[in-house]
Amino acid sequence: MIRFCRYLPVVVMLAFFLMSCATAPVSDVRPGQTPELESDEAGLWMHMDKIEKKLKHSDRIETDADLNQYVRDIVAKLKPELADDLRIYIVRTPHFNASMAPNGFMQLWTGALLRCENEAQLAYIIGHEIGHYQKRHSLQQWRVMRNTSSTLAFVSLATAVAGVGFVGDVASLVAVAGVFAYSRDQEREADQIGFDLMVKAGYDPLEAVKIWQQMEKEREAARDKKQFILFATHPKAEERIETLKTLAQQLTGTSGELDGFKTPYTAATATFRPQWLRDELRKRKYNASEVVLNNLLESGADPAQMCFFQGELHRLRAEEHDLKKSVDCYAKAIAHENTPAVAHRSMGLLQWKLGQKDDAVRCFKNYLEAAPDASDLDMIKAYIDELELENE
Amino acid sequence: MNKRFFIFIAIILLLSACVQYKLVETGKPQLLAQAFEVEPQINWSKTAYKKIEKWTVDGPALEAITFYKGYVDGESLYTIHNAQKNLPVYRNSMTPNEIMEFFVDSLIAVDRAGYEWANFSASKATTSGLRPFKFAEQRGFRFDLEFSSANGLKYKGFVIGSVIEEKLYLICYSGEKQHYYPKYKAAAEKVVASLNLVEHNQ
Repeated sequence: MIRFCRYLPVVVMLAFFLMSCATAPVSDVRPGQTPELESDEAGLWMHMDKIEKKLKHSDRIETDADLNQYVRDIVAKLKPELADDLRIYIVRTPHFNASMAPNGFMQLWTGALLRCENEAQLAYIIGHEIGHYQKRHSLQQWRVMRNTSSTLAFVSLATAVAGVGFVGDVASLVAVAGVFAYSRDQEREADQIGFDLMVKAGYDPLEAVKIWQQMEKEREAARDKKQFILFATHPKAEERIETLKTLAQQLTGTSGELDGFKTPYTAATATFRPQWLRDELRKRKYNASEVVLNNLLESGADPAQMCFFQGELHRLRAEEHDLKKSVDCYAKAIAHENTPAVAHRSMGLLQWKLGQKDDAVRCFKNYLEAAPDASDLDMIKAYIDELELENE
Repeated sequence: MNKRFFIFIAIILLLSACVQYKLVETGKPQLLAQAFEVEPQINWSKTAYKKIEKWTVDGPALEAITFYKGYVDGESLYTIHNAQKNLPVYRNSMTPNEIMEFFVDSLIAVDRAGYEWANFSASKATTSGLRPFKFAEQRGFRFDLEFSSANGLKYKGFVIGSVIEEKLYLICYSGEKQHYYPKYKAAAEKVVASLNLVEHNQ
């Protein structure tokens, strides 16, 4: 509320300033283009610059240089002439979303990166957002809103932008992303651009279809449909899937070799995946997360890691049959040579609860053997001592 | 007395009603949850809400000891209107590893729900060094904690805990990593060392 008050005068001034401007046709953005100083667009940019500054310093930003470079390279591959005008922020938030601000900063959430199976899918998401930027959709929306809505509605939109200046929690990130809720026609246009860009760069466009099919499966499995932020502002997934399928089919045999680029994507994201999976489970939306994990497993993600996280999901959900499923998943994970060491620990804790003390001791010892420098070494040794004492 | 004076007094009263800090005096034993006593070696200021009690010297955004007092099976660490179902739930069957997970997941869930945890952000909170620890001469555990503020300032902390008579007790000392954490760490350790289980139903 305090923040709202701080921004209110600026917002009201901005609102009235913008209301005084006439609607003009909007052309595509040109490389290096910035708005004229006294235009309504300049006011909009100025405000988004402030939000970007806050976002830049947020602890939610994934700062890893290699990962950021990898994403920037995809932008350059898709639209080299705009690459210098666009800034991408990888935001550690476990929901599927991406958004583009009018001044050229893009939010790419780690929930989207987790769900992409390959580079082609990520390229489609980025290409779609580039489409919004290229067509200056947010400026168009801003002007439509100004001309068709009541003053009150317009000011409330402006205050929504102002209120998210602190960019921290998920709600405020959503507010930044969703404040320019594009029209369906604009979304379709961005889809078409994203599609064209990905094909031109040599990516297989059927991957764009797959990611929407996957999201639809996830939404169907979820108990709480409201958690699907993207579905609130975008056209229906069914429509999108059909359109993209038709476009892809029209292309068959005309665009040479198209690829999903799975290997470079896996290489760029593998280090982060355990953390993103942990973030996913922390949402506590287990039914939807189960679909994500199953899909990753089916699409060829590391089975040891996926089985371990499936076990974690069942352990945390702890509904009927979950305990048994959890044991089964950990067992599958442990059967792989490259299983994460913590799978042994998780299995040990479960066996202990099930009263299988010998098995628990064996699992804990396996854990310590696999991770001799584990930071919970002393605690695990204490568990073993306790269990062995009980067995005597 | 003029009108301005009354407005000033009204504002002061309003502000003091919001803060509700009380002095915790050096050497005066403090009772926690009718179960433990601790003896502060320096003056602290305390505030409390439900099962959470917080002591600080320079302000909770800089350093604080937080006492989580007696959680039973099925309870969440925090209370959040409209988002309670998204919070992890404590179970009596939890091992120290799971309690550590429960603690940090609770901080993250509160953070995600848009509630500021004393102006901290837990999105990148990490724990380490889980080990056995005597908690008021009872069997307990201890682990270390790192997190940051929403705008990237680093914080450090430690947590000790125990389950006694099916109730979970946790004490977390945390502070800004470079200056405030070390500044009061010894005082916080003394509070922890002074923990004493008192007879029930006294």
